[in-house]
Amino acid sequence: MSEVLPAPDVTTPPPAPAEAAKPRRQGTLGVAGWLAALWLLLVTAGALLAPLLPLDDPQITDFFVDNNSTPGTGGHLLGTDQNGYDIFSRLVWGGRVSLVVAFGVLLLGMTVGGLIGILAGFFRGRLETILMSTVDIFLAFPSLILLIAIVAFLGADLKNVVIGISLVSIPAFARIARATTLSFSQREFVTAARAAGASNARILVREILPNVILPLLAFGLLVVAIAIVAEGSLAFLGLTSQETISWGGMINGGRRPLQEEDIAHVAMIPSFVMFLTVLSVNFLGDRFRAAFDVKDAAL
Amino acid sequence: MARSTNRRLLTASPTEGPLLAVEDFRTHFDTPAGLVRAVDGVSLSLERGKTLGIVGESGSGKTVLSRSIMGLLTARNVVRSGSVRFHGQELVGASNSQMRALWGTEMAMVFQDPMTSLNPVMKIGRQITEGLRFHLKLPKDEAGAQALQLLESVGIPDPKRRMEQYPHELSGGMRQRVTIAIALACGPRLLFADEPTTALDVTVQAQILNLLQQQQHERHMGMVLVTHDLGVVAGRTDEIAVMYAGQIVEKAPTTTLFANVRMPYTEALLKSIPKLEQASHTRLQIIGGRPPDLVSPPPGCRFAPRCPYAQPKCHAEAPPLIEAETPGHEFRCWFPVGTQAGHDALERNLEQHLPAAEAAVTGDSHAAGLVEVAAETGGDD
Repeated sequence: MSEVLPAPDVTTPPPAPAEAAKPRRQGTLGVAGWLAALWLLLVTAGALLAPLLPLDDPQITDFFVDNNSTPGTGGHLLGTDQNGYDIFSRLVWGGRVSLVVAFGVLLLGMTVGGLIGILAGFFRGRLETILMSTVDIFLAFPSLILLIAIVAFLGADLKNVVIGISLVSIPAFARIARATTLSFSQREFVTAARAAGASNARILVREILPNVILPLLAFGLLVVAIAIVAEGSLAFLGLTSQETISWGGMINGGRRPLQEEDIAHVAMIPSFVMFLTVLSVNFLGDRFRAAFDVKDAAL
Repeated sequence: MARSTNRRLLTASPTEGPLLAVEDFRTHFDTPAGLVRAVDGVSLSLERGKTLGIVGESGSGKTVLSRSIMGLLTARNVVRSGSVRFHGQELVGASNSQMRALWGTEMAMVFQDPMTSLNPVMKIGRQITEGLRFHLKLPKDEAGAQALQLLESVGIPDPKRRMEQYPHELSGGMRQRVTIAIALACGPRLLFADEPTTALDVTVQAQILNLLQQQQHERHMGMVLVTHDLGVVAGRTDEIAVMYAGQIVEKAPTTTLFANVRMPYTEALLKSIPKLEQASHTRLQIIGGRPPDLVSPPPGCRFAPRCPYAQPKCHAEAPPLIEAETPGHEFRCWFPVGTQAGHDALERNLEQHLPAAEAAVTGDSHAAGLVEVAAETGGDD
């Protein structure tokens, strides 16, 4: 074994392995990556801390300024919307909906879809046929139509929106989980685990799951972006409760000023915020995937 | 290792008899193309503390044999028949849960490719302690201490640091040492090593083989060493079984085999090993042609289409395992190497200018190529 020996200088201890690995990870994120992360952090922090922040009440009309007033008027940082509500405050509060949708869908879709895919890919046979043909039927359905149908049927509140988008995302998660499980079950370490006396349940949890979860998470970030847009689309179509403040709802509200009074900022500002957020999530998702690709190649 | 040694002494049954006794064992795969007879009537036995080498080229069924003996072939289309007795316990037809009681603790396996036989997302230490904690019910710190000892015993420097690393941070040889440590963790009585050095550098191969041999000796295990390289098993086994097309074609104590080769296939394998005393650029002797289709093997001797000694009888009638004059030496051949019958057969084939015979004598790879063509067209003229 030709081991790499530490430097002959005994006074400096050999670097800890964690330190050695650090530069590469930072290198993969890059400046744009950090900006994306910072933006997401801001949105998340704002959404979480909205009740504590010194914001105008997003549900109270400011009668001292005009509706649709431009950014900066009367102490309203980003102006007011068609109802005279403070846009900045509504953006911060609207982030909560996006956050709930993002994490709700990630949790629900990934858990259910991942479970279906792993079971199908590991046990094969009839179970796989039944599970995957069900998934394929769902996949063949136009997802936005299905989503609208689900939400219209269950009622348009936040919980049902999350359930609806999760349902739509399950087939994709299931397919990815199944494909990854298929390839990993063929790897020798699964046979090795069996030869070491591990039961199926143990192999699934200890050998397969940790390997499948990485690609699932990487895809999950993509789904987060899609989910945010999907929620926006639903709100834009009016399929959201009127009391809920969401970015999609704000864009929908800004449509009338844009069409009838040529006032753009009411619709444009929330659109831009949603655009930035989705872009950041996608960007980080890419970096995330790239980082795993490198790791995969090194395996 | 004190603990597992004790355990082994407690569970070891006092009954004498082979550790592993395989009798007329068959493993067939039911495929759309037909029944693939990957292992077709293999009998062998192994005593505790002995090493058996199983040798053959790719597709001869040696890997299927070792995995099938261990019961690791779980696909639905696998048909196993015959008998495999491990310490008297019948393994053919044993349920999965019965096998689980043996896997890891009684019999273990070292796999061919250490790049794929370790879980890439689990730390080395965890992968070793897992078996200790699961099978031997050791508490966490004790398992950790034992894992350290194991890593040390398989020759890994700085084991404490290695425990905290992931497989991709280790070299191929290191990883194979880790898989050996995992296989040895619970003190098995029977160890299968399935081409343990094929994926490794030549320089590391010898180290790993020495390590396996040393561990086998220290732990008094029975070991089955599967390889395609006769050179690998030469100095390290007590007995060698040469496999061809799912059958054992020659089996003998190691020294006997190398001294008195009887089966032409074994001879061809031996000739294909490069030798130090050969001049550089000497062409290696190859065995022309391919192993037969295991769905419908030739009616006679399975090696006949490629054999330099083949006679009409060989193509018509399958030879049984014949006892040689030395005890424990068996082979399947009508015209064995080193006998008058074999000598005459080769002479006859040379007179008829049969390509297989000419290739074997001259080492001409062009003639060997002709064998390939002849074998593919079914050539038994």
